[in-house]
Amino acid sequence: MKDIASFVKEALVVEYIPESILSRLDARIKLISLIIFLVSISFLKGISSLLILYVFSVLLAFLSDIDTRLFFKRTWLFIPVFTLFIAIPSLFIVPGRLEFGFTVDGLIVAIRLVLRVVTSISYTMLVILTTRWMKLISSLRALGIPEIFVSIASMSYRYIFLLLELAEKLYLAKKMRTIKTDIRQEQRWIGSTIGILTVKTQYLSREVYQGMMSRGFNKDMLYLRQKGINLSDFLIIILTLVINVSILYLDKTIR
Amino acid sequence: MDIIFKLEDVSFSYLDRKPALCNINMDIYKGESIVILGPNGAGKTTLLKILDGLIFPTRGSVFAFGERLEPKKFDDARFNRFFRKSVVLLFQDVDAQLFSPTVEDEIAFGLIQLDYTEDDIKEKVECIMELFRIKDLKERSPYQLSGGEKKKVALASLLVIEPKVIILDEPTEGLDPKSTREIVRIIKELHKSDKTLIIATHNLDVAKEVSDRIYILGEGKNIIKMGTPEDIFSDMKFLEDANLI
Repeated sequence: MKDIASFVKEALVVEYIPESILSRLDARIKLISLIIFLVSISFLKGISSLLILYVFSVLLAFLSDIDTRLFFKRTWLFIPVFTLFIAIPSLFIVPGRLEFGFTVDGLIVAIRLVLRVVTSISYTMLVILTTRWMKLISSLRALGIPEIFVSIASMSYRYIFLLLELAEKLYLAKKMRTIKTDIRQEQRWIGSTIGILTVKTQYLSREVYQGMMSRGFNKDMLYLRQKGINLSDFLIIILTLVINVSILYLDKTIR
Repeated sequence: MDIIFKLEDVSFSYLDRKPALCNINMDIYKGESIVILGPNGAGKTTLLKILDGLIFPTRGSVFAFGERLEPKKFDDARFNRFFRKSVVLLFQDVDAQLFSPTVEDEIAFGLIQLDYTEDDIKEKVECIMELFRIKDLKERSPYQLSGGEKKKVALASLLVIEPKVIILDEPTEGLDPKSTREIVRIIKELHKSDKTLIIATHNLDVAKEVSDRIYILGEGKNIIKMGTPEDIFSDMKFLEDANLI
């Protein structure tokens, strides 16, 4: 339980990196650039092209003073590993030349899928780690993402830590009073914990809602009013487009 | 003196069954420091939430700044903005009040809801962090902070909007002596700057240090005594019967 809670907290705690190259860019520009990168990644077919984009993301992370160990942990843990398990069947079902019990074309398909996922996550992480939460949320709204989606995302983020702490405390309270375990008792405990957690969640949601109301929230969430976008910010978009068009062209040429 | 809050025969019950407050009559004037003493379960938190317009009485009336507080009043955007800018409440459980990814985001939340510009927000947030000596906590997640740090961050996030009335629910509960002294120091400075303070506590030392008037809530969920600190603390037998010592 403790390990699961620590893993989730580590995965979700946003450690904003101030004063880096990417931190200074407008959040809306970073989001638009991210969308451009994600679209390109989905169209790339060559492994070498995907690798180039992935290495570029690692370079950006390095130039933005992001701890590379943290960056690799955030980008490779869980989702790409999960993707690898999904990709394994393609080793055997994609037709092609057989080598060591699997097809080479199947291996290429699997590698391509994993690379697409890890590269997409890398660029997304770059935006998240170098953008303040309030600017990220307000930029999502500015780009036309529906209010309901943004509200749910930001509310979920707010509650998840409180709920995790609650679940951890319940488990520790039970652990310190347990002398011997019995499988049926454990199952009963899990069932009752789900019920208790539901009730406590309702209480917590009421308290958090009142906390938000007390600080001005009134039915409609307001978002940060950001300043206008500069010419230099538009140049970043152009640069992003040039990089991605070039890599798409290179990908087409190599194939 | 200007009257800020007026409570007339206010009663409150949870789920229309469980009484939390009975026939509360109270006047709070501008610039006063009011302490509400009472044992656990006396209804202090409920009373403070009524004063902050988060819940509404099941019977009786609450007036703030001359206006009756009721749910439809807060549907008026102008009144909501005025009230929320003027009155703030520090929760007893600050964890429910800290819900942003970083301390800086937390402090900025109220200012964003009150529609301040980005530049104003940045300036006010920097200023309050300097005042509370929490600049080193700027990028930290509120969940990683100690109890005393959480209280300071929660208080900073309320005071950044420069309210006229500050309501504090057990502000020193669970704090070590150093953190308690720091919070009491902040409360005293707020009192000197002519803010109206309403503090619920069962810490008698805090009550003696910061109050102009004291209301005592009894186990019957009603006000059993009101007076100056000298009146209240001269009758130790009464305090013992009221389950305060």
